[in-house]
Amino acid sequence: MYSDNNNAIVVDKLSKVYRVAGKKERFWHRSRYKPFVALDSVSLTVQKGELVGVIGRNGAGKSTLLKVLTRITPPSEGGAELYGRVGSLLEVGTGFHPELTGRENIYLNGSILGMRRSEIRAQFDAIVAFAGVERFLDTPVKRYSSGMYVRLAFAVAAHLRSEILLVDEVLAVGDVEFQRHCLGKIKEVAGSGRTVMFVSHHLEAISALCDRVVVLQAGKISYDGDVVGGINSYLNSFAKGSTSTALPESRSGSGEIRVLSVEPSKGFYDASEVKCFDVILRRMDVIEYPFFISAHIVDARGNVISQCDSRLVGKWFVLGEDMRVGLQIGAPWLKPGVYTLDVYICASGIMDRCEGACGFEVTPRLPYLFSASPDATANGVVFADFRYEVK
Amino acid sequence: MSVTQIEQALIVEDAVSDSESPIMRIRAVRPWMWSDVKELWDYRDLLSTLAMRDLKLRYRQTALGVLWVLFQPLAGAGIFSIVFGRVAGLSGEGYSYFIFSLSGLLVWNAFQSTLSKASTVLISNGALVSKVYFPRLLLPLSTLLSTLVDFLVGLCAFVVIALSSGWMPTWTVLQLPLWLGLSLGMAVGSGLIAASLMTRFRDVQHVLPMLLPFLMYATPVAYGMTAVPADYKNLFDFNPMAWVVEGARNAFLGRAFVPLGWFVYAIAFTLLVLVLGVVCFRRMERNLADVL
Repeated sequence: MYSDNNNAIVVDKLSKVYRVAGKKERFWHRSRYKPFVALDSVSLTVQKGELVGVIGRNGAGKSTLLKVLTRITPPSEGGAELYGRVGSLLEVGTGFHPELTGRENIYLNGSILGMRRSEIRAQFDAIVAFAGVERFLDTPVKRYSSGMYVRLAFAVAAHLRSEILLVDEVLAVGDVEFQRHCLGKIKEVAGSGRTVMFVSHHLEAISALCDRVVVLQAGKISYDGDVVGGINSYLNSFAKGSTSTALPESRSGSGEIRVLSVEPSKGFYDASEVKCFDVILRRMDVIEYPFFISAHIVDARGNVISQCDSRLVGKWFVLGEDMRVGLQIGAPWLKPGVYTLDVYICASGIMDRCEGACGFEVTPRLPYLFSASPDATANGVVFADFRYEVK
Repeated sequence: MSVTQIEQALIVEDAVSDSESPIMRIRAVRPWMWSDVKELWDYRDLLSTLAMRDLKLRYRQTALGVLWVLFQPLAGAGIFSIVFGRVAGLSGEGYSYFIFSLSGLLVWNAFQSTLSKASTVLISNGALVSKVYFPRLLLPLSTLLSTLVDFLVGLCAFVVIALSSGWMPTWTVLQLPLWLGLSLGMAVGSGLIAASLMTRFRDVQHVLPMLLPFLMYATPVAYGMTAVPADYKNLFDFNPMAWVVEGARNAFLGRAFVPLGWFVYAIAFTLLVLVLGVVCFRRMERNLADVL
């Protein structure tokens, strides 16, 4: 029955419901739980050798899906079948122990990921070479730089001999050079006939690597198809008026105030155009002190381009019931591409951490009077407002 | 189709497809299956790696290093000799009190350290448990190696000290693995129960350190079974660890075997605790990543 089957992953009506503890009125009260549906009857079939990217806003269920597929947490309903040995990389450096040396950690990490010791020994030199840590093999990893640490961890996972590789957001760390290295490795893994499922916010990586994109929205698959369509569908999920997919209750922060939504004035901006956003807040609990808002502009690779903190412009807010705060961002001129906004509501601590609160796109139209060949704009993170003069 | 039929069908499918690539099924409810045992075996390298990690880490960046393994049981028996042997004047039953107490302490320490390590092992490896899958049972089991090393080092110390004070081993020392096994079995079983409870109720980590010394004094470690007053004898009899410690001491000192009935009782109790521990652990482990 399975002999002519070319499936690698079959997910069948998979649901996962978490119980989120509510606030207790008195400490002796039993905590009341609210159900939070992280995955809602998801069905998906992945063929052998496919490289599937999974994207979606924060709280859409991407990581939960991978956690269920890697058996870290059981589904509440439905099920999945995986045909082949599964390797996973949910967080770089899982199982690394800071006191152990690089050599010891390769063996520890490898066997945690399910490798036999003989396999690790066979791959040992390749792992060390990929990570480039030959000189530090007998140094405890606590003395490693963070870059070396990440390289070593990724190297171990990348040399797993598995037919299915599940990868979650590993490229958020490490320098650009190493990211390129990792993407190449993932591509190589997929090229050798193995199946890769890849969760990322890194839209560039997704479009460079994947042949298929699955978009999750509020625990459901809202798109499944080619890459261009998937990225568009993802961007549309940020469109004006749509509220954040993550339930406010499931976000971190102390929760006296929650962001209901963040609405951009439009979906596309020119680079030099002023970008306007409305942050809509709701008071969940009585607070007696003023608070401030900090908005981060995040690019498609997950880099924070700029932080717009209301304290810097002398703004502290006092909240009535509901509130609408306007945010206008003039400079810097953003380069063409896709951006998201992370919004934090803070007083003495963080009250709401609303990541991926909204998204917008910057059109490829240059903010300069003249155009030049692409290498004139290839470098740098933002466009500068500059002039040249002979003196 | 009934549930059992489906189960059987699944098992047959597994057997058919085994020749190609392994199939992993993820379901909301999953019964105990033979494959779980096989999986433990498949992960045996991880068991030894985890155990070696604990062993390596224990004395890294310490000045005395492995000497601590030697120092700990000797210090324990030393304090016992002063407090109970000298101050309280307890009897060593014909042996020097130091040797008498050390002979009981070795097995007790194996029990105690396994139990307390196994109970916290899920919490202290929380980051690992919530990020990667492996049979969770390996974590408590991996604590056994360092206990065994402690025991062996303690045993050598005992032999050297006892020989120099005129003790000669008899064939009864061959019973030692039996008693050690029983104490470890009981420790692993109760450690699994404690670890399962600990994931939901961190209270266990406060209760256990209180309970363990209490248990030690209720067990004939510092004194012999014969020293127990007749009124309390029944109570002590039903403490299975009492017979394990007493049995181990008899084996060390070449004395008669414990009464057969109580020996059987200790075995039965150990098996019961082990089964109970595994059942508790199984019930808890599936949702482990969500509660940690």
